[in-house]
Amino acid sequence: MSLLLEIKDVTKTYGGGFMRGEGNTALDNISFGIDGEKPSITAVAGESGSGKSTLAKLLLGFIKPTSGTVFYQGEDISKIRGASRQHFRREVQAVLQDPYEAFNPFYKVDHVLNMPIAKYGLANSRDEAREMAETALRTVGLRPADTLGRYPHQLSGGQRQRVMVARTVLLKPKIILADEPVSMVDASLRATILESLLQLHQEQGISILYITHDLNTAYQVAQNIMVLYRGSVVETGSVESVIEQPKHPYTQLLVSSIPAPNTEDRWRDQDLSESGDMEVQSADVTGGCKYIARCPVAMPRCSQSLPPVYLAKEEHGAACFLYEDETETTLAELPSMYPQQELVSSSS
Amino acid sequence: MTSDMKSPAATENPTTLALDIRGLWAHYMTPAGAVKAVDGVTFSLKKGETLGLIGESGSGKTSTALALMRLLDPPAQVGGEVLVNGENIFDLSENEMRKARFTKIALVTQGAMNSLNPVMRIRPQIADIFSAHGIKMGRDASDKRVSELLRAVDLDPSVAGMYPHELSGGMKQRVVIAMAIALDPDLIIADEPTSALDVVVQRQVMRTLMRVQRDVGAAMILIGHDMGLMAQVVDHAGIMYAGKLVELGPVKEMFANPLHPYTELLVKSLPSMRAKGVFKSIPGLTPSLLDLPSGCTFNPRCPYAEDKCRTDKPEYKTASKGHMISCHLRGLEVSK
Repeated sequence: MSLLLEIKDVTKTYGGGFMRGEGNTALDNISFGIDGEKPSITAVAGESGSGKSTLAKLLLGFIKPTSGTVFYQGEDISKIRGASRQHFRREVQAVLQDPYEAFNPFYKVDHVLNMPIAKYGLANSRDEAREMAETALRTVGLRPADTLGRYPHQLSGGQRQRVMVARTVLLKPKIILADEPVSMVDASLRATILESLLQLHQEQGISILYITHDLNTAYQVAQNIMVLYRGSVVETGSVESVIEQPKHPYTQLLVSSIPAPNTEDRWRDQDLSESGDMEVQSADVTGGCKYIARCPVAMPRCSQSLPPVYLAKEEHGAACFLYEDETETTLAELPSMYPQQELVSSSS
Repeated sequence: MTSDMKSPAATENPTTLALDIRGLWAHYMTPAGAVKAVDGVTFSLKKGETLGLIGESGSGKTSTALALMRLLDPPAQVGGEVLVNGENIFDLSENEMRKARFTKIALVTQGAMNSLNPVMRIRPQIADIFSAHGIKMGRDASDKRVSELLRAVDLDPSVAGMYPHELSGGMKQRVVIAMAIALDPDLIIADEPTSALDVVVQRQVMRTLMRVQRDVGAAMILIGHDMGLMAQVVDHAGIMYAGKLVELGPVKEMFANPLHPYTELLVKSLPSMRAKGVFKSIPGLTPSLLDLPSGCTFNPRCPYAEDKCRTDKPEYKTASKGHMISCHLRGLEVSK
């Protein structure tokens, strides 16, 4: 009946302040929760500047929200101290984008695995520590003999990223925040990393927040998805529903931009004479829909007020006036944003 | 060179070829021995055609591009023949080669952000290409040409007065494309031009790149590992593995009917919107170029490998017109 991780009415603004103008709003009044009972995989999708990485940093407690609160198991993470902070640090793990920067080039790969074992006192002896590291590596499909004792530069990007996943396995976390874990890895190796993450979810019941700009892989691994555009959630629902039948014009553009791995109706064979959707350096929109400058179906009212979330389909919300004939809802009422259990408990 | 491979257009009149590469090799000399990063690559392209050079990191894609541009310096060694519009660029003097860059071959690199000078506005950076090639034109003519180029890549001419940091990633990539077409090259080499961009911007930039390529009539080599993007953009696909082209043919044929086991696995490993949660990764790792397996270099990862694959190097075979593969088990007749 409880949420593992919850982000409530969170806004994050960088810069700005007294006499310094408005600043740059990276996340604009976002709320969502991750179920504590049933492990899930939630994808957060959006282009650069949509606020994806800010979200990850907030959830990890690296930065504080300008307003609103981030809760871990019901506790405000900015107020968690001492032993429970250690606990939080252990249960919420991150796999970040760049497997090249995550390693200290002067230490062997073993260091990355031995550190958490030592810090959290996971092993009683050196042999046990080695055993644990080897088991963790095997879990992610690496051969310990080929991995331990090597320096980071001797491993491929895909192997390094899997070592990072192995590190999180050691700590038996409740949730892994994976921020673009495969974007710097060769396409042919992506599958192996996603496979390891999916396996952890299925076998060890770890929830995953998969932050990405790649809808292909989001579709492959996640159950739910939320699409961010300039700091706001524009669409959310089950990943099948959102990607197979996108409702918001932005999500529709995203889905149609994916290069399909087949040779029917190729880009090359399309009419290239008109430039298509020009990249717009859109000015800050005040009050209206943030997508208005790029939206092909923008209406006058889109500039007047921020569209609320409408139930475009069952359990599938879109923040767009195109669906204003549908039921208006809030993010908190959508099961993809807030697992159902929470609703039951709050209404009772 | 060890291998000889006829390319799709090789049977045509050679004068129509924009690019004809024969047995290109590039070796890096290291204390541990010669690393054969590019090992006997042969293909050709007609005007306006596009070849996708596909492979994992370390397969030799970028080394091929650098060798073509003659940008590899000792201790790297480069050899073979690269004919651009009939002229072998390896016969050019250093000074002639400097002139040939942008006029014959232009390179669009992966990180456009690193190709632009951060403390210079866009206009002088583009105009620099004209002066570096001894093209004398007045201020007005030069400004006019810069505006034309920016418009050609769907940018507003006002971008000329901006600094790189004022532009988004996609806009910077467009500026680099504008520079690449400034002197109407015969060949554009685009090395993962959109890998740093979001999907939406990637599609727009690729459309622009395809259009300007068509307008200047250049041949193009697109380097990358995104099979989806390749399916959308290129005419021919060349699959590289451990420095060699293992399959070369029309992209449509390759996707419909991949012949080489490696190509087959690459096509199968694509995440599709049809089957969820099924990952088909290619087992094993790219071999070290210093310690290549004997026989076919792909044999340790090949699900179909037979004894002969472990001992004998495969020849190039013709599977169908313009479709070549290097595999003991697939393809029909042995070429030549």
